[in-house]
Amino acid sequence: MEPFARLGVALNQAAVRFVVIGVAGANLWARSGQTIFTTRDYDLFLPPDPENALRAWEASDTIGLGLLCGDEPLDRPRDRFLAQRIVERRALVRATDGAGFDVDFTLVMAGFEFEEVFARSRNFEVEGVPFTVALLRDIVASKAAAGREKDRLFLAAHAEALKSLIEGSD
Amino acid sequence: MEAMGLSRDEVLRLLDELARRPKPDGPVVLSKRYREAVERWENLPENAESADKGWVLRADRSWRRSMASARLVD
Repeated sequence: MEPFARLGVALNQAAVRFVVIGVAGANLWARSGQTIFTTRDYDLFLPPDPENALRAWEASDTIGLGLLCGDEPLDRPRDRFLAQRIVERRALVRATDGAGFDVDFTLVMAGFEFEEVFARSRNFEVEGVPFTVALLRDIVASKAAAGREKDRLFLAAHAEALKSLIEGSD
Repeated sequence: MEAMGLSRDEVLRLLDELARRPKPDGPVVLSKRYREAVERWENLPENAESADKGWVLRADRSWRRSMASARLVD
């Protein structure tokens, strides 16, 4: 099973609320290999809920993923106190197998709150595992709001990929 | 690169030059046509609720394997 699917099983079993966002999320809307974009990691958007973050960490731990905050291992004990501090700071926690599979648990999606994105998300399946994925319109709007160089590059490439649909609107 | 008439050093110099240029930053305004195209994309049959997307991860993994074995050719 793909590592991402394995993580999905663990997160779903632990009742973790999350939405796939970022380039990995956009890729799940792809129609063919030609509309898949390279990304080094998967971005999972979590609500600002310490208990939910704790469950996400524990689920990652059960499948052998290490947890990092910044470049350092996430502090121990990984308890509600730590989760509360992480949520207050909107800090990013990364789950990694140390071999190229990296997942960012983010509490921030530029221009959006979790509940609004979650409410209008779509479920896709990966190897039979359901994943809640942000609408593509929300993913691109968030990238437009962030406006970093990498977001601009993605938007330009994405617009090119959708060229036939854009031109077809004339 | 040779087909384009540029040596590797020239390409690297151009890339360095590009990297030194100031980068645009800040929110991007999305055109109406692009936003409408995105919404049509969302509504394609292959993006229906519960659609199987396992192929996306398999394609990504295949690409990563190819890139991992890539070597610079002089």
